[in-house]
Amino acid sequence: MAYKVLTVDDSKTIRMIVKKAFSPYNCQLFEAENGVEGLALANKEKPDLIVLDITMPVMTGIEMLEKMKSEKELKGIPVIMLTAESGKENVMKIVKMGVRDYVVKPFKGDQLLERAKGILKLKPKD
Amino acid sequence: MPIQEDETLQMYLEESLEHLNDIENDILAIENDGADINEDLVNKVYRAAHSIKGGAGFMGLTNIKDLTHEMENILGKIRSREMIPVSGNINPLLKAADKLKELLDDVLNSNEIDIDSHVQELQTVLKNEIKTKQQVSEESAPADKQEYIETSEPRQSQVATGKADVPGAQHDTLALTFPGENEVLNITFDQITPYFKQSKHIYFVKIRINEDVLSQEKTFQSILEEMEQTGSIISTNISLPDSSDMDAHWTPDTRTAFFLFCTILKPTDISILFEVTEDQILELRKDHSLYFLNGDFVDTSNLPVSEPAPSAQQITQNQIPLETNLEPVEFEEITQPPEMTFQEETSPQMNIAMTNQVDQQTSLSISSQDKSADKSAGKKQAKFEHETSLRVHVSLLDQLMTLAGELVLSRNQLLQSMSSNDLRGSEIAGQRIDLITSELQEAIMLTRMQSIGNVFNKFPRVVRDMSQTMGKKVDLVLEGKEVELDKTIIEAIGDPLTHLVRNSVDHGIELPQVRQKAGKTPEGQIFLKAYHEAGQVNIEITDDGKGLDGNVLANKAIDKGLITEDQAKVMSSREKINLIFLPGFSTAEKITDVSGRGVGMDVVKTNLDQLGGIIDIDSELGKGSTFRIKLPLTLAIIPCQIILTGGERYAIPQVNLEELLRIPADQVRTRIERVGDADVVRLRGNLLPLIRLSDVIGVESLYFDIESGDCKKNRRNALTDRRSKKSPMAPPEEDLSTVPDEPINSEDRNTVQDRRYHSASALNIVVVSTGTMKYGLVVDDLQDSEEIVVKPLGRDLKKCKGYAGATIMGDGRVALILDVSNLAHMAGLISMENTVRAAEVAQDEKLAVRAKHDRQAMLLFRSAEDEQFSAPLNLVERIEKIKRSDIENVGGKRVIKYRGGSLPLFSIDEVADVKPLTDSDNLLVIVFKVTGREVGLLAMGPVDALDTGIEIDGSTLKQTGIMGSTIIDNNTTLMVDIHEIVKISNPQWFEEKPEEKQIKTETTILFAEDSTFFRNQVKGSIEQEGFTVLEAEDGVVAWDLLQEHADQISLVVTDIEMPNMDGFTLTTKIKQSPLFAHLPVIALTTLAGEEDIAKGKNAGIDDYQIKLDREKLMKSIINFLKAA
Repeated sequence: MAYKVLTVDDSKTIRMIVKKAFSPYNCQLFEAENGVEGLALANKEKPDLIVLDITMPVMTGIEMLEKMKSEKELKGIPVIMLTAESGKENVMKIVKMGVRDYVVKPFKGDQLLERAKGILKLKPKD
Repeated sequence: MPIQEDETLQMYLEESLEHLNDIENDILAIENDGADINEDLVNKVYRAAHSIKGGAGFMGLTNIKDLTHEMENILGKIRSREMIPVSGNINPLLKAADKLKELLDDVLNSNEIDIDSHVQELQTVLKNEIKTKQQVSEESAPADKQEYIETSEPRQSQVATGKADVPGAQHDTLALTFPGENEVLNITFDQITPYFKQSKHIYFVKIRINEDVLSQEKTFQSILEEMEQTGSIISTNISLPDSSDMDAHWTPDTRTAFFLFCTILKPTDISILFEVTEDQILELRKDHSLYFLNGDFVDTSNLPVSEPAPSAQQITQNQIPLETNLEPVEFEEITQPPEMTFQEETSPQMNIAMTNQVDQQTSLSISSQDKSADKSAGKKQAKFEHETSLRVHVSLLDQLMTLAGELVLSRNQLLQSMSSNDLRGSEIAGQRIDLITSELQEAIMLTRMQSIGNVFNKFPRVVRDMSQTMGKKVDLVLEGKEVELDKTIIEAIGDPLTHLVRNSVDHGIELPQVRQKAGKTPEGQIFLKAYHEAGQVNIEITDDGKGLDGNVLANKAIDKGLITEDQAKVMSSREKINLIFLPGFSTAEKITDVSGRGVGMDVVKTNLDQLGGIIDIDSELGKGSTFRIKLPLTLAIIPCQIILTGGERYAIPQVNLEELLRIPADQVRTRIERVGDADVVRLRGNLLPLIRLSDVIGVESLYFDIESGDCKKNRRNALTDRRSKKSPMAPPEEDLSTVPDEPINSEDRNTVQDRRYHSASALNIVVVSTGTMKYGLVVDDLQDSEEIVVKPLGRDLKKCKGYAGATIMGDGRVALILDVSNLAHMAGLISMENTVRAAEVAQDEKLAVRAKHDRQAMLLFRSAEDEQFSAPLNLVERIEKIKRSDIENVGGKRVIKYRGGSLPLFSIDEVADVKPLTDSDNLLVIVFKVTGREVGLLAMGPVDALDTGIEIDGSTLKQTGIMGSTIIDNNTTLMVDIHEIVKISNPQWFEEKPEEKQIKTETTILFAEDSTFFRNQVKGSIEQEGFTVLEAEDGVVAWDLLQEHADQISLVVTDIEMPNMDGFTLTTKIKQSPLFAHLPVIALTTLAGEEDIAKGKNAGIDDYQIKLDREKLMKSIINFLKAA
């Protein structure tokens, strides 16, 4: 069974990198450009993992996380947060909010994958 | 990490450049907003920097990453309102944005570009800010941690602490200790293994109760809460009471508390949680060894240890496979299936990953070193081409597709008709193809169009930076950003435009103090405007600075040996200003770093020439300058005038085309003159140099002989060969004995019959302009103007300077495109005519201009067959044709029904002693407006309107109702004073209000006018109204009178065009003098052109009135006096 992974980031580049990182594995990738889209997709697809950026237009990752945590259906979905070095105050916030893990940008695909492997049982695609 | 594959990089670059495009103006806007930040905007910029940084990290672009990181820090502070955007912190941001662009432009080599200065600058900004901030917020309590308590998971800590209470239950134990401390924390592997599996971090933390908690005014409980919210406590040396019993001020009874704490927080971030010194936190890694946060291995043996303690290292010897089936500590998020007890093979990888995390700094620096090593071997040559793609609107693409489809259909149709010899079908298909092709051309052109905003948008920054360094205040207004131009042109005009804008700031706008002295606002304005006109794009750069001083420029040019003094003497002010375009000309007294390197304007001009554009300057000293640039919409397809010379066709781009001139053979000798060794043509009072195209490009001029019907060689040696006697190039066979001084005299020559007087031998002149100069190109014949496709010249022809390119005509033959400015160079034409003759003509021109200003539009009509009258056209409202029978006699007055009312009618003979009104049945009524009422003057045709230079005789034929006389078309014409006529017939209309009378008797008006007729006329009418009038025949006299009678004069009425001192100058003088500035100035003119009005308003003229519109003038005078 393929895992559903949702990547929420306003930067196309980052989304691409996330997609590329997961592409060798048994994952189906979904993309969203901001928190609103992300929330909608999360509700629809119930992903197994969400890779969530913090700084986004319309709705930030933190807002989206807050919303997720207040929804029964979504609060259990593990979230890997993408944070920036400069946003240390955010780190505390998101850690307290209960993200499953976080990755400091810039990261390499492998690093993200390592984090994800702590959550999902990733298998190479057949 | 090497540069990632192209696809990702490409996408990254596109995205980043898009972000960068806006970043600059947004930063400027942020600066403008100041403390009152627009959060959306700051967020936008922040995100832009963030995204660029994010991507850069992946691509291994360390420089870009570092730079954006620093930018982001500052933006973050601005966003959180911790930093107020001022130029001090915005400047480094802008500079960094520039640098960033540079880095992105050369992305493959970006890691080698030095960015230290930028990074440092940004860091300094941040540090300074933090310093000041710390000073401010020293006292504010740091306790604000209750926010997310709701989401904490208290269960975990209980589980963990519970386990710590039962130490040593398992055989695999680990004794943890801080270097130099005795206290040991014993844990089992089972306690920690599950956390490792979740790739969490485990820290060994030492908290000194007094130093780290109490003296920081924190409570121990708050620290515990923080820990519980962010992770779980695996083990501790203190016994924690139940969280329910715990009161806010509970502190453990030991001096130092140790925790083994598990969290997802990375070593780089853990210090945010524990506000303790770095050496108080150690990381317990998967190898069961302790590491410092910086990644160093904790080697207890090297540390000063008071007592030998069991070192952590020793314990780590017990390496045991991490194959345990312990239930992982519950986390809400854990969703993985239970068999998730781990594949062996991922462990080593994970180890690496963790090292990577810790060693982020080092690994990054290593990777960059790797790369520089890579590159020092061979610097990456391939600059990354990121301008290779273009965004096109989908609808446009659809349109193209449709057209392409149409084209294919038409082609099929054409092929079919051709194969079946269906001529009509082919024709129809041909027409369709014609239509589709033009549509297709248009659509494709559109895809190349980009808005000029792309260029304009960088100017706010340029202007801001410059005005800041120079201490000037400049307001930049942009207009017409949406105007679109071909991509190539957009790319090419950036530099010239920047140069012009910089020049405007540098040389144009004065310093605030200077401006204030000159009576201007301290803030200068630069107005940048783009608009479409006649298939071209016009760009105007206007500043209200000091303007260009033609004389200064001329002197400079003389000093630099660019022109001679003689040349300078005869130059018009416009020509002098255009000197600025001469190569090697720089006007700035000080060469600044911003502009004035002496290569400026001529480069601008050359650049624009290359684009097929022209530039023109309009400048007024003290008022400002306007640079006007005309550009073609595209370079690929341009409209051209096709001309014929020597049997070949040539194309002259429409941009260069001013007008076409055909001088009929019989006028050739009156219009063409020879000045020195150059032919010139008189064109509206100007001398225009002529070049014969055949001479310049060395072909034989041909003419079409109508009689014989074929082309013959043109034997004319000079355009004006009859006058060539005085020319050094005179052909010997001509009679040298008559040497006329006047170029156009001897009548007898006109009688000479030669073919030149044949209509075919008329001279065809194409008047072209290169921006700085205009000249006439004499060609054999003029043909159509058409759109041509520009093809570059072949290599062999590149040397031929006179051509800008080639094109293929409809018949498949090649026509060369002429480069008019190079042609001028080739012909040795210089922009100014350095002869006395030119000076004379210039003088003539001046007079002509003045005469033009004193021209009056007159309406000619008759009252009786043989008596011609005229009236100022601007007083005429309408002319109606009526029948005599329409006139009604009511109440002793003649009226006519007109627009639903009765229009009173007069005739001139009622008042003046002139021939009686014609008795013809068909009459005209000329409707005038007098004292707000319409009156009709009965007259007869023919009517004519003409513009005439006025030499009015105000005495000979003057009588009641007649102002004077003038000669028009050899007829003595009487000028009707319509005002007077009406006044005599209806004096009751002119009764005035007593208060006005009161004003009038006390008032003296100064009236300056050079024309005697007008002076008398206007003076008369002003005096009739009861004012006292002081008259002056020019500005100088008026100024003197003003000084003499300073206290009497309460209003000035002045003509514009006057000798010695014109009306503008007079007004400026009045308005600048503190004594007279309050005086209203009314300017009189015969034609008030808009430019004049604008000019006058600038000079301070309060109102414009038409000379012969007596009523409006009076009204205006009275209004101003009332206001005073």
